[in-house]
Amino acid sequence: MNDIRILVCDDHAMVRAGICALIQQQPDMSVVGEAVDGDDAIRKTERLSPDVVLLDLSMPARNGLSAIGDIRDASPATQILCVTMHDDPAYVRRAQQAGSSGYLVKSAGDGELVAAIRAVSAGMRHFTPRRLRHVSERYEVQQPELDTLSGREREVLALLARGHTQREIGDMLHLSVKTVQTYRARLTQKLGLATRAELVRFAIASGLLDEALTEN
Amino acid sequence: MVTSADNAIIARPRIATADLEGSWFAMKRHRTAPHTGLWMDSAGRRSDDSAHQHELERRRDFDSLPTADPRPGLGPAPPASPVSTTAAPPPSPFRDTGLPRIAGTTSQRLKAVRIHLDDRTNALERATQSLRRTERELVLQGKVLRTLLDSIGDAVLLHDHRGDIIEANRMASEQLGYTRVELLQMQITQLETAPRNLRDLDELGENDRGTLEVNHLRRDGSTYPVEMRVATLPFRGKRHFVVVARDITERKRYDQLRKALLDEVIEAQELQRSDIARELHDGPCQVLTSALMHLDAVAATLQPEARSALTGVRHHVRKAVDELRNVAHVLRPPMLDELGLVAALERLASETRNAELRVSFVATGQSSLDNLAPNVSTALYRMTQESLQNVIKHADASCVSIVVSATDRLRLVIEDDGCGFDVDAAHEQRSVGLIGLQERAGLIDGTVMIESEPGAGTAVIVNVPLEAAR
Repeated sequence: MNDIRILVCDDHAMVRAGICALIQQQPDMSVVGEAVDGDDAIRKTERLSPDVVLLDLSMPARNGLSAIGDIRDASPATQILCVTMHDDPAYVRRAQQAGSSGYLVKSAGDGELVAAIRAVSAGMRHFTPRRLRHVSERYEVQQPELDTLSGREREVLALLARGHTQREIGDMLHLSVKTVQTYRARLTQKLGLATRAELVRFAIASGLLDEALTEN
Repeated sequence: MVTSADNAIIARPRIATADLEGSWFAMKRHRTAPHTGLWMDSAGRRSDDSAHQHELERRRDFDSLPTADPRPGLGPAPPASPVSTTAAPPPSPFRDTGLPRIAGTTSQRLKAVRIHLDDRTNALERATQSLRRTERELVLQGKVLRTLLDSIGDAVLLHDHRGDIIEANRMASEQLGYTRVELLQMQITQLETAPRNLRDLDELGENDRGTLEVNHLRRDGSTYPVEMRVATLPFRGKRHFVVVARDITERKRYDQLRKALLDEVIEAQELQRSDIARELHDGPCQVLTSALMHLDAVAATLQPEARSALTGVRHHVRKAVDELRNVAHVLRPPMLDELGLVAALERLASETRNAELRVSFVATGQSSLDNLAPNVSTALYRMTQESLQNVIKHADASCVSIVVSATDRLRLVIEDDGCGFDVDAAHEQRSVGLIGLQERAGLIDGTVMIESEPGAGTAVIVNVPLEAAR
């Protein structure tokens, strides 16, 4: 069985040294090259066709995330394992979307790096942290509740969801602020939605606002 | 004391009304109370004045004389008059004129008339003197007023409801470059670069003071900013307006300086935070991470007991890395630059969330939001950070919404359901936190609006033009 050929990409020499030290201890792995930024990583992937690219996401100039696509283009068979300081799930998601096969935090250690390399080189995925985030509210439009709203109420809802102050809404619809507040109270009453975030989600889910939604 | 040589009694004359009608004897007498002896003239002099006393005495002598029937033989009785001559002194017109009724010879009657004339002349003189005194007083007050107006450091103008300038002080001339005479022929709106509609002044009540900022136009065409205070003044039966105009060129300059200084401080602070975060990340964080890896490498070569001894060390190093990373993150979240505003705000929301405070985050128009100029993302992130801090510190809220959207404009809303506050009062006190928010927004060409009422939660809404944001 061949060695797993690994390209180590990180802008910090000390970190590269540490990773290399870990890898060299493994009989079935070897480091075939080192890169210091995204462009360097792409070039060397093209030249060396490694099995696994260990990619730091926070490199200067061209950072890792944006380079993932180009690395895959340069060598489609290469597996990309993101090794980074950031333990935020948002990074994990992005890395995954961009096409990496794995993600782990540099300080993970304890053999996890080695295990991850083995896993991705065998075609598996390895994504951590998998820690649970605080459960967020998910709003599901149960019924066509939009129909229970009057025209004016819908207008106020749309404007609130767009992020206008109550005074602005009053000016735009020629109402007093008190009247706008009354409409908002009615929205809360009819839809059971109090916070602006809830109003926005509802507005989008029911098609009142034609926009793509990102939320947590 | 006047006595009649001829007669023991000098009766009040009954002079026929017809004789005196139209003559100046019919003048109204001064208001007096003859029998009480009190007497006050228009100049306020009282009857303890000796000249008057003399008059009074003379008059008293006359008054005390009883009315008598015309002596038989004197001539035909005077024509019947509406006033009867019976005992109880009838209301005679001549009582009012002060003309004593004199019976008796022509010379006696002439004397009486002359005395009366003297009386009237003196009264007139006194009236004239007091009028002159009042006049002098008014002139003096006029001078005082003029001096006062001309020593005021602001321009003072008086105009009518049509805008015609009726009065102007010295400062007005100095500020505007017109002479007083020229100003008096001008309209107030001619002095303004953006002439107001004077009908707006109709709403100004008696006790209102309108304040507004306008730009004034000098004679030479140059302009300068002015703070105007307007009050109404009834004058000659019509509504007039007093305008006090203060040249605020200096003040505006100071305001600009102060703003520029604040902006520099904010930017410097941001730069410093960036630098520190980066140094932490590039320095100690990396070194320690690398050390961890080497530690693992070494541990792999050791016997189990030795290896487990290193676990504690590893744990501490790991802890150090995490703490340093947190510090760097609070200073400047790397994901703001690497992943964009939405991811950074998401993280902020989940960090702020706790058992007592629900934090929800919604973003629309993500593609625009992830392509913002770095200073815009940073500013919005910081404003959210600050607003969340305010919510935690002051609002006693149970939930907070963070909504960011990029449609026609970039909008960021941080709304809580907490105890709210009096926005106007906070403005009056020039709360540092609010000013900071406004300045940050201003730096990216945006605005901040804060809607809040005590007991009804707070909404902080940031509004930025999208073109400025890319």
